[in-house]
Amino acid sequence: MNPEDVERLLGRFEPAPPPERLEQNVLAEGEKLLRRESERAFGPTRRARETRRWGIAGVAAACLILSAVLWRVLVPRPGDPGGAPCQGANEFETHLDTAAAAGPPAFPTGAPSLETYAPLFRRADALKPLAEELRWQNIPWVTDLEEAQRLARTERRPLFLWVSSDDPLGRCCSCAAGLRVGPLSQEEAIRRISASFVPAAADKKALEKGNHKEFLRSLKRQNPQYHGIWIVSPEGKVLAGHDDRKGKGLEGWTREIIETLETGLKAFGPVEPRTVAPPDLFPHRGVGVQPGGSVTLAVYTRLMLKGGRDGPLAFDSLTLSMEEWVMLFPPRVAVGEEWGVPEALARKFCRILSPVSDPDFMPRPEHAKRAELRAAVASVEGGTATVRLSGRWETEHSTPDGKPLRGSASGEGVAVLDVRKKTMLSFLLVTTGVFGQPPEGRECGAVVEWTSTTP
Amino acid sequence: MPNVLSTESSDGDLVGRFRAGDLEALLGLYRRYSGPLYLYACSLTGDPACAEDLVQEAFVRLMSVGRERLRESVRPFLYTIVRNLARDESRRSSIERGHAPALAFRAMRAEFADPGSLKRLEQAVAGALEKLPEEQREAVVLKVYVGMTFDEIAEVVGVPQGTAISRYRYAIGKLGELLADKEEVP
Repeated sequence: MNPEDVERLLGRFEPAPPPERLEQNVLAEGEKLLRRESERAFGPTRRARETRRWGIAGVAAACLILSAVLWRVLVPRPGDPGGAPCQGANEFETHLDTAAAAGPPAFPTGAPSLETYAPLFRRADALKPLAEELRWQNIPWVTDLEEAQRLARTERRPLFLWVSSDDPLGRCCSCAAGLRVGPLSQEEAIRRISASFVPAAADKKALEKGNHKEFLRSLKRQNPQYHGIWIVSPEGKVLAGHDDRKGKGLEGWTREIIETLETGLKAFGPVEPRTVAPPDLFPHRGVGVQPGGSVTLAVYTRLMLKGGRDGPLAFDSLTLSMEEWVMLFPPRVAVGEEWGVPEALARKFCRILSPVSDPDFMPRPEHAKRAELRAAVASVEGGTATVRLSGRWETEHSTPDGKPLRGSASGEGVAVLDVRKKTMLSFLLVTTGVFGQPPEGRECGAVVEWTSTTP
Repeated sequence: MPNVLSTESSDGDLVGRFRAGDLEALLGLYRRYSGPLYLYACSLTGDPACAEDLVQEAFVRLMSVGRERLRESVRPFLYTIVRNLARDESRRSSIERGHAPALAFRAMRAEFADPGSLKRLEQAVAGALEKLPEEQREAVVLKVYVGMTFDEIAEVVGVPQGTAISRYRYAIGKLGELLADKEEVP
């Protein structure tokens, strides 16, 4: 068949129109966007009277905030490269965030020589999550949708189904990450969700690939939204929904979520209060060796300013196989012994460069232009060996819509080994760097940690 | 009110009207581009449900993007977004791209008198397209079913124009061989 005939034959077909629900979904999204734009446009006018009334107080508050920002920018922090060392207890208290102690896991201080690493621990503490950033873990999440549906049927209560574009309890889109550390970490929302609903968290892509594809489609048909929260009866009827996109500040957003809960509960009817303890969602994250010998390192990344927190937390994990894990052990336990971790393993750490929760923006091993992780035995005493780690990473990739992204980071760390048992006791790596669209980029940092037993 | 589906309304006009609060303008853009865009998404992912999500996400991003990033036609923007999303989707999931183009091409319809012959021809064309290398199949879809120029294809796919032309030419040549026994189409 000659090329003209082929083109003629192909031209006898045409694309079929997409399903009607797609048009409805797109229009629903458009309507929401317009509503939000409109609220943004008219909001200041409505608030004008109040702003005038509180004008003086507002200006004073702005001055205070500006002073605080300038203080953070201008005053170096202990632990900064080239920064002032800690001078005393007062300064220590100022910079070491005691709330970080609530974050798992605490680094063990068993090895006698670990005092040397105090600045490193302070840098880690300045990055790790605050207690209020992890309160969403107090909700008794069920991650198996089938189990959640079974519970809803048995207990005769609605599902609070939270569907994110990716893993809602790990790296997920910014909307879901914001929802997690925002409204879903507020006491009232936690209390209401836990007491009246069966809370389920699901990855949209996993649902689409698994047995719940039709269920998800049914939810979308009943309440068109790309992802977000659906309040669903045990029979699958949608009672309320929220597309989890950021509303009007934390307070407004939380109010919207609570209103969604109330609407759903009103449509369902009264339920008996529920008391279920939150499960351990991450039994192996950052703690212990799994049966196959693999370990899952806890990863936290975020934007920084002068070595301190300056943005929401990205909650992440990095799993290493047993073969990869042992590459972090020294070939010979003797002070001064140095070795380089294979590049393939060093590349796996590239994900820590992105302070953005959305995995679409996260560099992957293949995006590394440079990935180095070196180790050296620094001390051997009292049956333990400390290993000093140092690494450097550079990545280049692009956003889903083709904009370039560049990241670079360098880091230091320490690992402690039990020399007799030939096991790792703890691992800590702290990095700082820059991430964003070239030529600009934002300062960011990451903490990667693991300990053999729960402290 | 002017007809939003009118060819006189440029993409830029429709985007501007949507930003001014006219939902009908979004409907106009959707109806102008959704059919071929959905087909393209199907051909990249091989999964109609996933294709729906990609198309929806592309329109969401179109609505949210700054006006300065849009040119007179939004078509390259939409197709680039869908392509990038499909690439990420493919990387994240176990779906291998290009393994189910038949799903996309079964969705096509044609004006044939005999439904039996239509079915056979559909299967033959879908089967032939499936045998093409992925980048060649993409060039055919964008050229024949989306109606893009080679310049536009090059921009969306991110290759020089000459590469886009040669991919298309190779694809048509190969389809000619694969469909040699279909000389007498009804």
